[in-house]
Amino acid sequence: MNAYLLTRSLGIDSAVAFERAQCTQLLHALHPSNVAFYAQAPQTSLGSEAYSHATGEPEYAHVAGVNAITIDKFEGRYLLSGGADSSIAIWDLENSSDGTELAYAPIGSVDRTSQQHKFGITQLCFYPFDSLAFLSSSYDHTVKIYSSETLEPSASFDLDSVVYTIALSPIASHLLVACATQHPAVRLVDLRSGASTHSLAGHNGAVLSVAWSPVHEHILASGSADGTVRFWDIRRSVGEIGALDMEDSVGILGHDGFGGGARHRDHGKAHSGIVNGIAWTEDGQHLVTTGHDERIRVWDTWTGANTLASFGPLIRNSHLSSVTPLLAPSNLVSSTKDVLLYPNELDILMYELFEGTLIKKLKRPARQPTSSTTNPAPGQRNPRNRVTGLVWRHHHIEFYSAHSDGSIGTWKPRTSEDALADEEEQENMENADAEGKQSTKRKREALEDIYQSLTKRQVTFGSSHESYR
Amino acid sequence: MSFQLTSAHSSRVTKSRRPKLDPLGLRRSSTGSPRRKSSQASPEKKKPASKEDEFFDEKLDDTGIIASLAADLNFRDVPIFLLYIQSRMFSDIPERASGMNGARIAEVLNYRLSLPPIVTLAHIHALSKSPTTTEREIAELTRAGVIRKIAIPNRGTGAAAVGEGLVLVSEWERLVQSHPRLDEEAKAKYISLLNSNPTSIAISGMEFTPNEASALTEAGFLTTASTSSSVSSLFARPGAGSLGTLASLATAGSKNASGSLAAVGGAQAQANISGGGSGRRTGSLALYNFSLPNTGVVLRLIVDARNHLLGMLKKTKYREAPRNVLHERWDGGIAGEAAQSRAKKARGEFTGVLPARTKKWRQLNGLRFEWILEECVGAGLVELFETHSVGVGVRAT
Repeated sequence: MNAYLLTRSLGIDSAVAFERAQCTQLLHALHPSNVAFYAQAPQTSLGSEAYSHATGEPEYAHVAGVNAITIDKFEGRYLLSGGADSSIAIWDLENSSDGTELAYAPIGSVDRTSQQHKFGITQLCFYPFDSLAFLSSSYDHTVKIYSSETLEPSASFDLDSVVYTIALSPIASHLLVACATQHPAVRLVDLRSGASTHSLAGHNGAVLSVAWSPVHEHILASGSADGTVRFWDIRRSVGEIGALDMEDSVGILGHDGFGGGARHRDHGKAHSGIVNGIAWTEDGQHLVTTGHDERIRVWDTWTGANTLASFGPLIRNSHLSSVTPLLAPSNLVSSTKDVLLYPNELDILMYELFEGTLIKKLKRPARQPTSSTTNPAPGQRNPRNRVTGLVWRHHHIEFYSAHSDGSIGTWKPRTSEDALADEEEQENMENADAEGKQSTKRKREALEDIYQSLTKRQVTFGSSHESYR
Repeated sequence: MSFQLTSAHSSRVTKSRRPKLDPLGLRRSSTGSPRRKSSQASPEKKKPASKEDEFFDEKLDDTGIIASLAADLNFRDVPIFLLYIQSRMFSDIPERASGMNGARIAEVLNYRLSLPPIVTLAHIHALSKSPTTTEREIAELTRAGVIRKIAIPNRGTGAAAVGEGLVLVSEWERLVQSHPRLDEEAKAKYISLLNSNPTSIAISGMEFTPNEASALTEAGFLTTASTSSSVSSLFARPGAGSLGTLASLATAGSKNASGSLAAVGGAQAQANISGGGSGRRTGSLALYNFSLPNTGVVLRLIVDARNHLLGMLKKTKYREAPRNVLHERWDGGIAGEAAQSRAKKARGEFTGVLPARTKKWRQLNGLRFEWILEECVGAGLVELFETHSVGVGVRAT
């Protein structure tokens, strides 16, 4: 750190390089933080830990588990979470409920209801142009648009099969919502006309995840239960551009750039099992996919080649819901050192994206067990408590995780300097207490002496007997 | 005058019990390239231990640094890795007091020679410094025709499956040429197909005449690739429920779109109906996989060894053990090289069980502990960690 300050002041490093180095250091120092999200504001004025001791339960945001989480991308201020019991809550990250930034209560919430969504929420995403509306999809086969201020649904689309994922293009002028459902075709819902007739056929199994390209407004990628990842161009009549093949590390341009020795672009499986997570990098050059064969693969989107990044044997993926990896913003790190965060059952793994090296394993500190869970056998993982989603807070270096035990976890940077500062602060507090105690003790003794001298008889030895002579 | 040689008892210097936090990984460990975990390293409270099972009743201290096996190997490329791994697979037969007579020794040696030279991908990744560079090198060498991937389908998907292996193409050709019962034409055709399709695992049945196909299948160089969707993952990690055929059919209804053929088990499910389904098609469109003879023997060996190692770890309370303790358990209760046991042997007393009676030799034909540990680390079934005091620890994930 001091070396960076020196080179910056000498002008060797530019301001951008210095900022980037500092951001990378903070990113690598992400640590679980003890900010808590409560479904109701704690009534007592004590801290969050005291609240949980008082009620005997740990904090939860949604009782049945948090399935979906998202943060608005403009200010990074509003966090939306959807529960497995169809409840939705919206939180303001800049106003905590007790002013100490340790506990948050929702500024608006929809309780568990069968009037709006009947079953659990699967995905939430904000409207791409402002945060006054958001879309939600659920197991009850519907996609609904809500207004963020009133939390009332403005429109509802019924798709007749379970909706796993929805996606809206961040740059597009069209307002098409791509829905990944149990049906093998990707459904496109047009928000302008309310029609849901456009569908992209080609998959052979349920579609589990969709993602729009961040640089092209008409390109969409979808992953399905048959193990394929297909690309679609929504302007074309047939739609499908091609599929990814995990055996192909050269790409469809072939060895010579003109297609020599290249594979057929329509065949190929991206994973040996179900594909349930797709994420594009910000520049649209690479695509990250995760599958039930417990692999994360990184693809080059210009040629469709597998970059063969290998992430090690720690990855686990066995649930039918979508498990989307989170890519940290690439302006925080230098050019080929992008960071990927993968929700791995109970903990979160931080990898370098293109090399596949494990940077860190982020584990949550153990929380008190709720009274309703049955204790798993020792050594067995508790399948109820898994990480269901991750979301990055824009303009900050922190991220939030949704857990199926009902809580929302926060992860903020904590460097060794922070740790030392905390230790010093604690020592200072202890010393101040000790000193305070000593000074009060001295004061008390002095007062005692004065009192004694005023009230009791003075007994002096020495020269007083001479007066009796 | 003090009678103490060191000042340990009288000096007032005490080290704090709490280990220093190391969130940035600036402290290097001595076993090669350490990788960091999240920075809370906390010494576990020691529970009162019973006298017999001292190691296995307490949780080992975990400093948070993951020990890596890739420490000192600076091999040039992947084929050298393959040769190295194959050469270190079995331990030498002890010269004296092995408990095996000549016939048994011959059996063990013939078994070792009959195994095909397959190395699993997980094993290579466990030993290489960067699995990504290894993968890219493997892809390049496969295209060049130096090594070849051999696939074992229907053994489950996921990191714990024994899905793919690597073989040197020169070894493959040598095995084909030296097979006694195949005729020359079949051998030549097979080798030419191997060389013309360096990256593909399968080949269609149109390339061979039926006689050649049956001869090669009988010899073990071709296997029929059945693309059935009934996967029984025998290699599922202990603790996770093992999925049998019925379970995968049970989930087929929810994993696949309703109304599609896959939701009722797929087109191949009819083949599994005992008593015969209607309209089953047989063969001329058969797809064959390239394979080596005795592949099944290697697989069985790896599976049994993995289960044995994981079984030893599961018996402990926290599913972890120090590495050298596990090594001794793997070798069985045999006498080591200590001076005491040598003296006992010289006197002719009973030192310990003979190697031939241990599971390592009886069932696994002398498989080395380091080899199976690397295999399991590569498959993600165990992980290695550093403890403060007892060296490297092994924990089943």
